[in-house]
Amino acid sequence: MLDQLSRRLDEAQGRLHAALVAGEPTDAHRAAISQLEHDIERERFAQKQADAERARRRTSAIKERADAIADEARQRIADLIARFPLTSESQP
Amino acid sequence: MTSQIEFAAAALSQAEQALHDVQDVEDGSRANVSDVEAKLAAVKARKVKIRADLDAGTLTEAQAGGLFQIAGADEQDLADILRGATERLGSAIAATREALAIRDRAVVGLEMAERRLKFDALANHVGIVEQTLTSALAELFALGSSLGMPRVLSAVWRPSAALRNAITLGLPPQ
Repeated sequence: MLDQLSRRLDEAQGRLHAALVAGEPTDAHRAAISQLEHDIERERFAQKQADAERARRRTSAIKERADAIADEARQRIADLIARFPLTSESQP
Repeated sequence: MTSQIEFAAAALSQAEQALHDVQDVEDGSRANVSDVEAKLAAVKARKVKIRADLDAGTLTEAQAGGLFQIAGADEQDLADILRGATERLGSAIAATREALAIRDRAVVGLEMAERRLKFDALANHVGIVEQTLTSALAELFALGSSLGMPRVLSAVWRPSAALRNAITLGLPPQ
């Protein structure tokens, strides 16, 4: 998407240059360039947001998995102690 | 207590994720190499076909020469691309191997942390069991005395051979 916008901006700048050389009106070309620059900026921002969201999801997934691993380990420790109950009612 | 487990679990989780990432890269690199190899094989087949068409008279010398030149250039380009792709695959395989070693070390780290915590927890539990046993023996001794039994502990309780050997000889129970 960003590549496509950059290509269109290059083309629009080429048309502006040609219009300047030919002495034709340039307002429409300038407006188009301005719009494309705005679109590129918006696209860049959207990509940064998407990157940040991906990083956040990745961090969250790592944290979730770490919690699960730790829970399993703690459960195994608890299971070990539970094998040696103190009350006769809880004897296997 | 939990911080050791949490630290080891976080290291393992990160190592697993890193391994997953490099495995993805390796899969992509492998697919890329296969793709380029297939294209290279197709170009080689194209050259064989040009030769066959020339032999069969379907193509003139000039036509076959032109087609051969194009196929040769394609083959050269693809061979260059394949060299690069193979190098990248080699790097990806090495990265996967390294990530696997890091993951395995993280697994061992977690096992060690868990074993240490199990030891501490069980040692603490044995202390509680021992305290419970001595309190119960005191109560048993008092009850026995009140019933007129001799005022020696052996009159109300005799430890098992395993417990006696553990305490007096330091032999671990089987």
